Amino acid sequence: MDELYATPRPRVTASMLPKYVGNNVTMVGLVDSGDIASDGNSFRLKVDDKTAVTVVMNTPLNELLEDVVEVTGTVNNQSHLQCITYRKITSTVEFSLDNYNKTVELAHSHPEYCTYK
Amino acid sequence: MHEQFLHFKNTPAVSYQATRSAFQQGLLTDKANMGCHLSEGAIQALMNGETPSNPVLQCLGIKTISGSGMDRVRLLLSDGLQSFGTSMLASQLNHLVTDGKLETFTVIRITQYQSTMLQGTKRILICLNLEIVKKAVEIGGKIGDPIPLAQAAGVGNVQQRAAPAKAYQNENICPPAPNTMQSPKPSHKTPWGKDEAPVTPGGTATRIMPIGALTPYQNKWSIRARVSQKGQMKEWKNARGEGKLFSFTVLDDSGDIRITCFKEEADKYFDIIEMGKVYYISNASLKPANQQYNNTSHDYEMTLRRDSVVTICDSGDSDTVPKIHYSFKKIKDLEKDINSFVDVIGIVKSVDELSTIMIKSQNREAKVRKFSLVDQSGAEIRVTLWGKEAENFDGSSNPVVALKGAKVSDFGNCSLSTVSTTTLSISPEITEAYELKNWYATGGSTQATQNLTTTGTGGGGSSSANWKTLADIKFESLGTSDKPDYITTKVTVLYCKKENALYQACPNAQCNKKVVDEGNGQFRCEKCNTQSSSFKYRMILNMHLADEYDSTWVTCFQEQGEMLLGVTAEEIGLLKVENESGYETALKKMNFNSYFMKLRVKSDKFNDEERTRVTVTNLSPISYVDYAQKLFADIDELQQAV
Repeated sequence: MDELYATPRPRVTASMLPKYVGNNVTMVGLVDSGDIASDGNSFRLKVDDKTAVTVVMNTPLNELLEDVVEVTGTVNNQSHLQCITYRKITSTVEFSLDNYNKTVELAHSHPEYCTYK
Repeated sequence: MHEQFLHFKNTPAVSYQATRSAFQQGLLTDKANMGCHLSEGAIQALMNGETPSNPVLQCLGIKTISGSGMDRVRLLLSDGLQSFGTSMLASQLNHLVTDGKLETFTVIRITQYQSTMLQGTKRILICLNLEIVKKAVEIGGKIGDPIPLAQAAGVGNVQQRAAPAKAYQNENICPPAPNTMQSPKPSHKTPWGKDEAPVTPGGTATRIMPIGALTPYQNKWSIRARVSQKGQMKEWKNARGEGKLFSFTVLDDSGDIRITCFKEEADKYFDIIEMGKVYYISNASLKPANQQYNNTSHDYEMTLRRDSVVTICDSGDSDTVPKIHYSFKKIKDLEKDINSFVDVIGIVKSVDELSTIMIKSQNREAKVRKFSLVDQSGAEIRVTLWGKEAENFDGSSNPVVALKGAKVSDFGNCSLSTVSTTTLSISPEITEAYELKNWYATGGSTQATQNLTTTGTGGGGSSSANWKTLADIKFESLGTSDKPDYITTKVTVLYCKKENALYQACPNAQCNKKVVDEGNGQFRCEKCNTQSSSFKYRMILNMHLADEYDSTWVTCFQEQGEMLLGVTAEEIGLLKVENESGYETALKKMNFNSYFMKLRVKSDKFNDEERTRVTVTNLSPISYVDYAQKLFADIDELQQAV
């Protein structure tokens, strides 16, 4: 786990994934309990209106995921995420995935203000 | 009066759907003539009270009768064997005549009609819908050699008597003769000719009148009409007294009319009148329509009196009264209709909380609720509801909402607002509603929508969000012009003074004047000039607010104070007297909480010293989603500027 913190793990949107193959990234999306593979080895993370990213687990999930989840992992050449760690995000405040993605895009379009060094 | 209405249960009108058509039973044959089939025998069948479906008839004559408000068209129709002239065109089809599509010799197929018995012997056919089969130029003349029905009447009469039960029931309710379409003036004689005057055994004659033909100069009429719009109960108070009223609109196939009830009648009928239901209404007063409040095409409007009779029509008769007619616009296209009234149907995507705004011009508060409506056009629009409708609206389960006569405004670029004559129906039983539900369930709910209404204004609950920072108050010298400035801010409460946060006010509901403690358990109100042993607490909070740029002291009154503290002024007042530390804790509770606040900024001259007074006029919890959208818009603007 420590090596995770040694390298950048930028927040990216689905369209940026191809540029990050082989690198660590962080993505936030929605998980429906029905989108988890029956063996618990992978699940689908809905990251925007059109895209669901497949998250592949190293060890099978031992809990039910639902609603907003943040995943940090390595992008493989199929644009899947090899999960390093994930966090369930629970909050009573309304969450807008659309706003989140826009924010990530803004951050990437202004590297002079937002860097991942 | 009740007995009289029992008769209405039996219909004089036979809907074309009501019985199987004589055609289908093979009783009638079509005859080819000049390449065109007329439904031979259809007129005889009609006169016999049968209801042949889609009869094809030739028009042999057209007479336009100018009436009050709208013209009516009377047709002479022939089936090649017989002709008859007691046929009226529903007014919504008048354009066929004015456009020249329907002229003498045109062959038409009547796809929907209403056949009504008059006086037991005379039948009136009202054409509700028709298709043009052949144009007059293609026919060029009369088909066959039809005999005018008057000559053949003997036959019809005998057959009428053959069904005595039906004819008898019909006697009580006489539909209008065609000439009632003429607006009868007081100088005219009664619109019914002598031989047409309704005769009933009891001597009570009540006619089912088409709404379009109602004038103040008739008495003893009744209408059968569907409620197409129902207003809210309104209360008024002026120098001459106070009271309440509510209005609704009813329609039949001849037109619509607005009906108003006052005071006792308003109370009596408010719960009886339901949207979309059909009622018999009689014994009401008619007066010229006040165009200021009336958007119907009728020249008159109706007022229900103490002796008015309103009975629900739940028999099959109600089917013949047209349903509310919507002409829906796609949400996507509404931008072209700014300042006009439209019919819209959509799914409620999200609903805001009920909020209160101050209507400056009328100096009163109003409840508002906003929601987002989407449809298959992939567009989304904000809709504002007011008053009771706002309070009662439940859009939590994404229902279908149909709006009739909603106003498109350019507020927030393009948004919808309900006015007093707008009808809102939740989950209406119409095809469009089912289509929408289906669309929403099969992907529509997640489809990206184009938002016609610019957001970022939400959350503040304000009518117009004029986003400013507290630093702008000084930078832009806000409040120094004649009118106060209203700004929307995102602020954090730093501190609220505990001194003078409450005052003792006159207990009179309408008066909030500070009372003078007489020291003998009596409190005197200078304004009302009364003494009372009680008073009520009113809040006047002095608070220090800050945002990222500056801080300012503001005054916050009753309603907003109660929202901030989450308790009523009365409770705080009691706490202050009984439990000083509890009172202080209550006031401290809101410190370091952030809100959207609408502030009124006005500078006053006080002892030659210019002071800027800032008052909280509205506040709401921060909606982070809305606020993020506002920030996106700001960033966007900055990028454009670079």
